Amino acid sequence: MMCINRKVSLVLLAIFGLFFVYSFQYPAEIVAFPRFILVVLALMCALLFVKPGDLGKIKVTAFLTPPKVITAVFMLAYVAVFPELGFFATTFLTVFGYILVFERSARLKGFLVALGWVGLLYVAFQTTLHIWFPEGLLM
Amino acid sequence: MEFGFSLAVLKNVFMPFNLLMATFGVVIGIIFGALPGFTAAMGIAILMPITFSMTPEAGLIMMGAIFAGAMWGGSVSAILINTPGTPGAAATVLDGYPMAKQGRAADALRESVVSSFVGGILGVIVLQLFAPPLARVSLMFGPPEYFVLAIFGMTIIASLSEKMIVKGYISGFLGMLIGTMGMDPLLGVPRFTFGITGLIDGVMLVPALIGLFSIPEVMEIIQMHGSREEMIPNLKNIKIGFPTWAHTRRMIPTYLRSSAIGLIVGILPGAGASIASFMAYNEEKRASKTPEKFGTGMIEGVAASEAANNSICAGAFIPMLTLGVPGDSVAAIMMGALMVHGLQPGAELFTTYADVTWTFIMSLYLANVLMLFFGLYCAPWFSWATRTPKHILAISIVLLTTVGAFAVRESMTDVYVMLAFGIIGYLLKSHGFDVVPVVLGLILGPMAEKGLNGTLAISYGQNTAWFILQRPVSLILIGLTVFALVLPYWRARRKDKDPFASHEADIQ
Repeated sequence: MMCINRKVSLVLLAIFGLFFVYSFQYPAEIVAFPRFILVVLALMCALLFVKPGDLGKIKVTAFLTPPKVITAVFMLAYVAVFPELGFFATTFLTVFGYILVFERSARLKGFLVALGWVGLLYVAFQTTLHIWFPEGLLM
Repeated sequence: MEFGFSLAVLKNVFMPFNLLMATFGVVIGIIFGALPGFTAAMGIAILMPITFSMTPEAGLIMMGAIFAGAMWGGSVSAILINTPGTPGAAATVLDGYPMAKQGRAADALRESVVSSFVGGILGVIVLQLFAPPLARVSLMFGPPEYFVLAIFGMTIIASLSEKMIVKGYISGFLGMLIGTMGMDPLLGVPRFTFGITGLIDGVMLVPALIGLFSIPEVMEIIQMHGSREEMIPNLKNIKIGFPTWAHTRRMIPTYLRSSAIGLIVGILPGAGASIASFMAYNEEKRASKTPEKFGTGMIEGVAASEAANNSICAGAFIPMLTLGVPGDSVAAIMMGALMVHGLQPGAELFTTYADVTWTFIMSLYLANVLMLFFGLYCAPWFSWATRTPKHILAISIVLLTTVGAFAVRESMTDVYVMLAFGIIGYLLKSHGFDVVPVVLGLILGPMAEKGLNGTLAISYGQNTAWFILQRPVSLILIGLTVFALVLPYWRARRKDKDPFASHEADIQ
């Protein structure tokens, strides 16, 4: 089985290769420096392939543990819905929902923490620093 | 105003709002430091957008105070629950936790705060003395010197990478590559923007920093969810108070030795607090008459680690303020903050913007005094921070990072940039890459390109390499670059190790 560092070096080499090809869309004088960096990166990846060292075993499942997946989903959903539903509704629902996922019975705690965060961020950013959050459909 | 002592500077430092920001910064810093998984870099990155509506002085004072507070805060969880709150407190665990188990938690906390204070103050003195002359050296720099300086910064950063040298280089040059996105400095043509208008001005540094330093930590924190909670010693009725003079006198050599190590390591770009604290700990062990007792609850072990990791704060600011090469991740973030406030590192900081710079430097004394006060009298109150459930911490960071990135320009593009960098940071970290070189590459990349373009322009008709080699400052920097490249291989050879393999063991 191929060592993880070797796999990583191949993936990176492919990405940098695509980037190099993409650079031909631009005049040579403006991409000379990025191309130089890409060549250095390719050499480093080749070196990593040849001398991968010992990173130990990385299991793919370590990236996808349930708490991590739940957190990633909530984070992506928060960012996606933030401009649509607005700051108040999105923040409250995200925090409340997230706490309920981890502590099913902690409804009051979730409600209070969510309310606390909405209030704190509103006072700190909107009232004090005059940063206007998206109001969205639900205000 | 050679060493910053002027009435205007002191007036600035002690302005009520600035005092409030310093206090707020120290308290927030201690809380961030005490929370396992939170780091000083993350705290400053998340809270940086708040400073944009403040004066540069107030913003820098707050961020400097967070740094000082967090460096000590890390020892609270290291001593109480055997988990370093920040990487710099990793060596504090070795003797701090055994002391807590022996019922000497108050002694360990007292020693950690006093040695942090001494290390911090000594660091600021050195910063005050050495920054102005070094800034004057930067006046001798032209485009070739800046180009070579950027390359030198990259090599030393990557060569000191904690995991693998080659991976450090990959991270650093990846940051440089990302830094080339946006308007080309030569012809003003958009480059690698993939049709996204928000990228025409290049990658915004602040959202990128927020993403890189926060999202991977969120994932690490949530991974700890449900893990066995450590018993935290009850500190409610414990008064820490000042140490005795006899004890302090006995510890002076330790403070001086460890602070010197922290300062030297801090000045080296990329070395980091964990390396400094382990080096100081090892040195203290070597100097001790009873080295075999280290690891069983020796107060000197706590003092060495903490003095070193706090003196590193000021050390890391020296190359950042004078040459624009950040000493560590926090200095990189502070450099981003300086730029956002319209300040460029270099000689100008000590001439045109001397008031702002000296206010910041002098405020570090205040931050250390505040840290000593809160540490000695309020440490038991901060121990609650270590009890916060992990999922509440995780969602709190998600909120702060999103709202913080949005607050930079009130634009969702910055939130998407933050998220993209968060994903990149997580993928890199989970595959054994360090994210600090990415940040430094982002900063040094444009410096290198601008320097190279300038060199090509002024050396028109001559061999560029020969042109660079003819300049004495460039030549010195090239020499240092070669030294930085050779050093890790020489060290590895000496220790009979493969230079490409992990050298984490070296640190420990």
